Amino acid sequence: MRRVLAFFLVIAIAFSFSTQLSARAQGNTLIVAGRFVDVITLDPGRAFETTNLIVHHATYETLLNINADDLSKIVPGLAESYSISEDGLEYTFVLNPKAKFASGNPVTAEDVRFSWTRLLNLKGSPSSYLKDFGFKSIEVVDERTVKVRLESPQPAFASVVTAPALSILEKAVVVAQGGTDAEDADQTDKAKDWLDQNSAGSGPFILKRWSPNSEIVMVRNENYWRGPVALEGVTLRVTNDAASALQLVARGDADVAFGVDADTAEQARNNPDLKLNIGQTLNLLYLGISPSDFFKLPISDVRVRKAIAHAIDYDGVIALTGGFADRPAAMLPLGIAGSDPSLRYTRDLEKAKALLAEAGYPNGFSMTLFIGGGSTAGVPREVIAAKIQADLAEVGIQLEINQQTTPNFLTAFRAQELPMVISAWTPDYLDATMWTAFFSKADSGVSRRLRMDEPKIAELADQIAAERDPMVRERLLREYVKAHVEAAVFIPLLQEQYIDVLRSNVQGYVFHPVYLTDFAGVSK
Amino acid sequence: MSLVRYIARRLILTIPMLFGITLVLFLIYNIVQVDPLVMIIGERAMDNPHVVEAAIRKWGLDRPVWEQYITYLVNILRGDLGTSFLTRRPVLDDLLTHLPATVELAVSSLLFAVVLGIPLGIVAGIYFGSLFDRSVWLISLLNGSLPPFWTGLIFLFVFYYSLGITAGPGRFPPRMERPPMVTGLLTVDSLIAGDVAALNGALSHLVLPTVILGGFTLALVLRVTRAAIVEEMRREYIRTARSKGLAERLVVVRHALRNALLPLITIIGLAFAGLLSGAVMTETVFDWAGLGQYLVRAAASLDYPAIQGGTLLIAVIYVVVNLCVDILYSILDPRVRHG
Repeated sequence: MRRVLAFFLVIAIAFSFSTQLSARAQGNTLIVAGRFVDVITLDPGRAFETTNLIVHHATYETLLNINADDLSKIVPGLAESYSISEDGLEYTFVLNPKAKFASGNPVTAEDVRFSWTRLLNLKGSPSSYLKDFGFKSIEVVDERTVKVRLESPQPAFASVVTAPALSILEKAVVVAQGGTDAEDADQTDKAKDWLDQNSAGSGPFILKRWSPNSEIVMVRNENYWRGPVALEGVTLRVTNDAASALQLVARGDADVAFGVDADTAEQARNNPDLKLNIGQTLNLLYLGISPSDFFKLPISDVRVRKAIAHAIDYDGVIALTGGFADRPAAMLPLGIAGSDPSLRYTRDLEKAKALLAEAGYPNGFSMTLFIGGGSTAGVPREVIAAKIQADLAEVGIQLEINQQTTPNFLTAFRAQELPMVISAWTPDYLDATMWTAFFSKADSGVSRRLRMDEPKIAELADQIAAERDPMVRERLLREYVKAHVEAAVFIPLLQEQYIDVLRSNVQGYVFHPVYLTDFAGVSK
Repeated sequence: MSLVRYIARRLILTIPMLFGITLVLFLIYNIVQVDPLVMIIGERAMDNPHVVEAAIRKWGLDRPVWEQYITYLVNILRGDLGTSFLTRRPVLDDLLTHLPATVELAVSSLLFAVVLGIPLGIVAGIYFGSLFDRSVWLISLLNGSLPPFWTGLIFLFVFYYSLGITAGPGRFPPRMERPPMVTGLLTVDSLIAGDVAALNGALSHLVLPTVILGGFTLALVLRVTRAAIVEEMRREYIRTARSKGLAERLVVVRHALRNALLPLITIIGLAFAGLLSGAVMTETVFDWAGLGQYLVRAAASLDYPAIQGGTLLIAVIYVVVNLCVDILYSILDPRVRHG
């Protein structure tokens, strides 16, 4: 019995460790708890996920920026100015003479040429930022000036330049770590392992360490050319769910719970130590209905698709998110010039029934709705699908829900095999072409997957891509939205809002729809 | 048969087994009709033929299936488990990154289970039917039947969130500087760095997951010990030992426990192998970046090299643990070697 007591004593001692926890606190470091599990690499030339955007925006800089307060305005970054040639084919960027890397070396035109050429020659997914925009060549004019040539006029190019993938890396550092911008960089570049654990940029922070599935540690760049920022560092700490992120923040072990769901947000509302930061994302969840005869389904009739659009209880869908969502009229999110919410479909069951009767289906019909995994605004796909199923049943349309793992779903969707889906779209850069280029053409993008062939929409998308006058472009976008509403192929269900829970002493925290957040202005 | 020859024979037998595992995995993967490219380069880049072509060449997806399998086998023999589609790092590196977290939790859970389970089981066995026995049995029953993800969440909520007397999720206090990485075991690394505060931090974060994960094994160890002791205590030789005037403590330790040890070693060995294969639920609840979480993520995204590499590793863990159990067995009971 004495031995048993001894063992209980051991346990008691173990527990007592936890009470002596105060220890050395990293004073002014911001601890951000969230689901940062998508990181594959932190090499800006190779990363194509989401969390890397936060890290790259903090540790690197781009030539141009778009600030959260005005998404339609492009502001200087490392480049103090830029100009576009008359024919729209040549972009000239002039670097800010004060700009320098964390190493203290100045940011030069050669660094820009190297970074972009490397990105291109690594041939990874992010190289599409340059490839898709007809990038032809980049040339160093002088120490501070680079000239970029495009194959065709691309008004969106300036917004593409703000994408973190186009960050400027210090050539000398990357080359010293085995990096190269040679033609065969996809085979010969060896800098990835180093860039996974370190940064070679000019941003306000320096990457110190990445422990996969555990944490990403950044420290302040004391050499930052705009002056050191307030925070000593930022640690992104991986938690598997919002509930444990909230626990960490509530106990003061973290300062921010990143991207929580509505239920968690409600819990946080009642805690005086915490506050909510709600940001409008540009992430859309949509119902896609194929207009093609290929499937031999009633939905090839536009009246049937409109009936579906009128049968959905949109407010009920938004209520599923706890009210933390909105919706645009078509696949052009609110916040982008030309997106007009007044054109949105609203629920009208009488009209839906009338349209179905007109199309020859007064008693409705049955078909299958395909979904993958994942969730939007904290609501899992299957919950949204069940809601749509219930809504459409009210007008006699019987949906069978077919849920598959995301890779299986995407494989079938890409193979143009699915007549009706619920899926999501997230932008990589802030230009209307991020949507118009993917939801318009019969032979490319998401529209191809649904076998949509709407010449009017395709033509408008081409005009939008080529138009340089912002006023004309906005008018074209309005027409584009209207044409999409008429076609009723893509019905937006939700535009997600991003909820972060902050400790009340955190100041200056702002949501950004592409970089998610900007730590440079944060203090506590 | 000598002990050395016995071990050698057992080792040789594992080779066809591991080979069989790779073949089965390979076949399953090729039956599932999913385009791995979507996972490799992401949905959007699939529209870019230049990226698609580079990826197909890089991952050897243009070669026939049998050739892919043979290449894979040859690479394994060279110690190369391939490159994960998902993380794009060598699978071996990935496994080694995630293994220390799992090992740390597995060892601590096993210690907890054995150090607490065996004595409790002995006492319960000796005082069979007493109030102590019944309460220990009830607790072990609860422990063994409540799912760890549920108890984990409840314990976190109560002891961390509400009371604040234990550390929260994760392996280390978020606001503390980690010790320099040597082994990846945070407790060991803290010791190497001579950093008491860091050791304290690492241990404090081990407490809750150990109680949860170890509790499950504890229940098992306790019940087996108790049953074995109850059974042994009824045997003739115990009566003989007692009648010789041997002290009760010696009767239990020298005689009853020694014989109860054999089934216990099997149970503990299997439990340890299970713990090392990654306790998915506990790792998930406690944000423990271990093997279990890595493999679940790999499975969810059809990251075939990672799944295959991880499965091989688990197979090797089981083989090694089983081998150790058998060797211990053959030492404790030489009859086994001839069987």
